[in-house]
Amino acid sequence: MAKVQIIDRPRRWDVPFASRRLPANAVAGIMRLPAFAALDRREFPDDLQPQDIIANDSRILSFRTGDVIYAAGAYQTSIFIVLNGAVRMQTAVPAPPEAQRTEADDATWLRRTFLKGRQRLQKLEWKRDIVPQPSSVLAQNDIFGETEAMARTARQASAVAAADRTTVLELRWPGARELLHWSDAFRRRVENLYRIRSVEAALRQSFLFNGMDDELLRGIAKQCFFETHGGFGWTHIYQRQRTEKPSGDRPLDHEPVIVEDGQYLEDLFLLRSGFARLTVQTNHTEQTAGFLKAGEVFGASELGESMRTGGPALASFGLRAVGYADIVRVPAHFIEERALHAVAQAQRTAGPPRQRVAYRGRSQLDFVVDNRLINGTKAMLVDTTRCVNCDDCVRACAATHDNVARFERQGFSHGKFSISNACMHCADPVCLVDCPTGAITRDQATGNVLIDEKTCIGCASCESACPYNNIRMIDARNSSGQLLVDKDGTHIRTAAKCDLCTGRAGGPACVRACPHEAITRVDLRELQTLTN
Amino acid sequence: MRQLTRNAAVTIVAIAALFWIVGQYETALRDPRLLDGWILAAAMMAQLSYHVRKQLPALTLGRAASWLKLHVYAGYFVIAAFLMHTSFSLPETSLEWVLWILFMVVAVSGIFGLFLTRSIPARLQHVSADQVTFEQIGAARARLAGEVDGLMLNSVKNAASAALSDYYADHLYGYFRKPQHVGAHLRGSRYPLQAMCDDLDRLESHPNSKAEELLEKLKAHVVAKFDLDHQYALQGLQHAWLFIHIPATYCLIAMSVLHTMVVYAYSSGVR
Repeated sequence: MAKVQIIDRPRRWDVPFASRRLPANAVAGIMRLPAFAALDRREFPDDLQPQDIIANDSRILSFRTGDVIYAAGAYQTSIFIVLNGAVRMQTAVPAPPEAQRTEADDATWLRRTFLKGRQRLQKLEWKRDIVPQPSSVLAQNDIFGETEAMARTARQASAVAAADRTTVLELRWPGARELLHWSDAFRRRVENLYRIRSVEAALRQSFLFNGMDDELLRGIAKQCFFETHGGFGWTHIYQRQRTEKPSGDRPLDHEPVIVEDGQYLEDLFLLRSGFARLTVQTNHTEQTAGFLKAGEVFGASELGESMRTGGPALASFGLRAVGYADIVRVPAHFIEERALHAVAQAQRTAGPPRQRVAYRGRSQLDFVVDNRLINGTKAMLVDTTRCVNCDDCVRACAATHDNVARFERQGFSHGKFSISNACMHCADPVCLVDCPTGAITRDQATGNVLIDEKTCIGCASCESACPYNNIRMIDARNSSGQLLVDKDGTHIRTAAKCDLCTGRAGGPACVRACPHEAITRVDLRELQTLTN
Repeated sequence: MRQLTRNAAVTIVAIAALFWIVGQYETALRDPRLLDGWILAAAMMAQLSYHVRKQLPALTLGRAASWLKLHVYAGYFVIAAFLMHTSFSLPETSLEWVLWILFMVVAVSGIFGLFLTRSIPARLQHVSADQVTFEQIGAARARLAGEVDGLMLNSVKNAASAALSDYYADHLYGYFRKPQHVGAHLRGSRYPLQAMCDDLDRLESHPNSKAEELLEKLKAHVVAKFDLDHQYALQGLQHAWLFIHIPATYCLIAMSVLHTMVVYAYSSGVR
């Protein structure tokens, strides 16, 4: 058998989104839609014309009344446009924290053990923990889905066909990104929608505004401010910091200040996407006190206390954008008594913020925030006091992935823990932003970041985008193990990373193979992970 | 702790059951060595299941950690079965002696290996926070040696300290090139490092600023190399015990098969 197989080098347009490229007449019709009418072909490069993008990166889907286009909670990154019929957006928001008692909370240890395997199912359903919200109906030519696509979050509302013969155009992320990048008109239109809808979504998502009258909520949304602090270029700054390590350069120096510690607060801050660092001034130095992740609130306890006592609301912490942070500012005078009640309840369950932070430990905080590890939802945590360096984990990984291990058993170290160079399946996966073919996507149910080897063209954009160096380019092989080369004899490359052994029973092979229970996959946004 | 107690209790009950069953067999005027011999053989074969699990990491055969626990506790059972099979006495023939020694090597190396896997990771972590994988220690050593060479060549050019340069050439050049003080590392002694640092401090009683800087850098490299050797010695030991345990296990199995054949060849029939 030959050691290599000669193939054509994979290209950008090889795998269209639909089973085949949209025909020219359909594309011409789509280009006349209001959303695309302002596209100026001269703004695009010759080899990336908008009609090619639409033909290759979009598909037309038909639905009957009641069909689900996408479900709330699904990780999906397309932008949609209603071509015919109507689409109802049914928002589903999490219940207040005190109401979020899961089946597992109430169970005995035996039942908890049994329930472990069902957690994923519960996450998908989360029927018990949602509060129905008023729905809105979108008509022909309306755009939807852009908010989550741009913020790279799970869908916050279900999109359901509200009429028979509803047809929608689904534009996958790589195509949407190109249109957003090259066309000013399209970008302005979508970003405007993103800002308006982000504010409303942030309010609905926050338990502070749970059950609030829809009209009132929309009224508040109009008075809110949407701000982006920092920028998506943070990954390159971070990579430079890691490799060059310039003396005296602190991570804080690259994190824009949103609120100063002790500043007079006039607004409530809702973190829409990204991460923010909580800081305190101690002995003339700024120290990390905690962090906020998407969906969390800053300033609620201070404003609640101020409303109760009539005193000024002074920030208990400083707030800085870690990389970037999309913030919705809600003017304090719009926060009504109901929200105040929710704040008081939240305070009772969580305890005073400073006390909570002290319990969690500062060095761990510095470790996870400085290294941006708070992004990791399934990081590979190795307990070095148990690890005997047997490399069984590496061998198991290689055995399940065509003899190429998808991680390195080295990485960040803190105390007795080591975070290996394995994909952390980030909450905000920046690796998939620039993928030209959509080969790198998220599993709709779990949010795991996966690479489709058939669609990957080996451009290495994900490898250079991953701030943690957890993606590697490897030589591509066919199912028989033969190396793939192009006609010039150059090896075809493909991106490879940990896929959590998706599709294989029993979970990640590395965890199963460790004889000393040294490896766990953990969500580093939960600081108790390290404390425990 | 609860799991440990449960596993230990199950093992003790299994061993007690073995003694009782073999006792009953003997009371029935049958040869108990046939029964406990076959139980021992079966238990030894079951021990191999952990090895099989390790060779098939891609299959969903449960967590290796659970298999290791089974291997360890079943190992204690095998030791009890062996002691019973030998009637708690030393062997008489040369074949029995070979079997006995091989079993002892396997059992003792297994228990020693278990002790190592529980103790060495914590020792490594205590001394070296930034661990290097065993395969990369050689490269890290070469990198360190290259850095020190550069440092000392520069010092000669700058005429920083002739005493330090001479000491490096006479005593430290070899130190940076090969693993050193393995015994001390295994004992957990840091005496050799202290001795080297004392020697370096004594070389320059009144160092100038250049010599002082060079001395500090050299000492930092000496400490880094010592830590690397520490990792090499302990990680090496972690791997080395398996080179005794596994070959001895296969020899034991081969000899056990021979032993069974001999027993049946010379037996007067099943009793």
